[in-house]
Amino acid sequence: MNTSDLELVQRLLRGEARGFDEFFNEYYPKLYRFALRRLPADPAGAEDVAQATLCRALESLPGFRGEAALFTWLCTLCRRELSQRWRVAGDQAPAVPLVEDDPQVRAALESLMASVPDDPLAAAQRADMREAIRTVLDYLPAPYGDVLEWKYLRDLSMKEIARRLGRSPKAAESLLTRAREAFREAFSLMAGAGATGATR
Amino acid sequence: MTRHPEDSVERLVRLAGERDLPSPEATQRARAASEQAWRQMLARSAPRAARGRLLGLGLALAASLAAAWWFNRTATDSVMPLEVGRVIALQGNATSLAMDKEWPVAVNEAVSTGNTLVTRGRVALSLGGASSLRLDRNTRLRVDARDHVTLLAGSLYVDSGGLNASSSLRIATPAGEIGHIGTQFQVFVGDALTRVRVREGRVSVTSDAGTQDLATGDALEVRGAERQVMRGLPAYGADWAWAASVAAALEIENRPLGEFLAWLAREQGWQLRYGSDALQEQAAQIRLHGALEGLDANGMIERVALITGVPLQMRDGVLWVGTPR
Repeated sequence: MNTSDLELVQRLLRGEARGFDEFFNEYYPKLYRFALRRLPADPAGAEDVAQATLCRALESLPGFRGEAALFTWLCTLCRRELSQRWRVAGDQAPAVPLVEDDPQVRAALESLMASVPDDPLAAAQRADMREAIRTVLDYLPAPYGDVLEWKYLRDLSMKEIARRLGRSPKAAESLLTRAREAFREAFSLMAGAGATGATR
Repeated sequence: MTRHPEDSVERLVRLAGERDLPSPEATQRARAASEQAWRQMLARSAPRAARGRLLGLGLALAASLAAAWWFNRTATDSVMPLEVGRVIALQGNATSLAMDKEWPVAVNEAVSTGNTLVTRGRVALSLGGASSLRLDRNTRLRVDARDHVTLLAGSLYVDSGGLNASSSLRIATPAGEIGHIGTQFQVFVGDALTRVRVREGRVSVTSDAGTQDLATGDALEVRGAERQVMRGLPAYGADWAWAASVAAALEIENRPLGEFLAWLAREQGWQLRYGSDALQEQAAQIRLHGALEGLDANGMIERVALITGVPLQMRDGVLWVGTPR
């Protein structure tokens, strides 16, 4: 578990309201997208699953040992919620494996470490690529994913990004550089693991 | 490791497009449910944490030292609720929630960080020593800090006490965070709608969509990704009446007429104008006595005009002292 995860959990356990806000704002949308990728035709169901996961996580927070990253732990709880939902509905889990469900990919995303293919763009079809990129953005440490979106999708100025982050423009620039680097490494890893043909 | 061109990250992020987001309604529901789960967890875990600490110390230290250590540890490690405000007026019923407990709100009761106020009637608070906050019926407001609240649902009116007052209060809503510069404004959070309306001063609403600055007479309505700004709205009328109705009563005993009229005009969103300089001077000299409790704004105007002999009349949002110019 990284330091910011640890700090956030400690703030939640101490009852800090702003810590709760940070936790909710960071992870509810990510869990929603995690659930939506597994319930693609049911956005409302994904919202319910994300909500149930957060409630379960907060109830269980004193038992969180920090053996995995906070988001990884939340995803584990989310998978359980999804399984329960499918069981109650008498449905089967989707047959199509998701790239992040692959153990290799998951390990790669969690560690965000080393080794790369030459051309990640060639490794997947365009739709899969979009999904893969969005998944990587969700797995990046906060607030890297948001900063990349602000910069490249919303074309916000560095001054505005700095204001949102509550940092100086220079610090924001430096954070953007780190975000780019983390994205590049994570994406390369993911594309590399996916290209090996591993499935769950 | 192979390096991609610098713009490859930009290209990939653009290719992916915006990530999906849950609906505002679902977000609001999830926030309320999660917060409840969190507070229940805190209420359950507090006694266990205390027991664990005391057992650990029991073998090594004398009981008195252990108790002292635990007390100090708890005091420094925990974020203790801080008293940051007070209930100054109440109409009907309201409750306060904190750490899985709920109790009825009373006038003069302290408001602490972590409290969530839930109204069935209306409540007026002073917060951070300067701001006046008013909660309409069916409102949920969480007090996070001396300078930060979260409006979970319902309507909140803020009067920061004028342009020279502190502007540090920030309000979190589903549509973004609201900051202001010495102002009066109200915020509404409904199932699918967040609305900010400025009576006086300047307000900024900051969200992922950017920052929207609002000035006197402006309103912003946010429905999902749709944002609409309206201009030139009146500072008085039915939309504001609820906030004035729960204002703490002004003690008028020995108060100059001019001061009372300025207070009344501010509460109602009216402009105050004098028909002549002489009338303005006269209003500063006249002292009021007695009480005006139980009267609405028009009743106060009639009563004060009667007892002071100063003609007062309302016309198109302007309270005229003397004959309109």
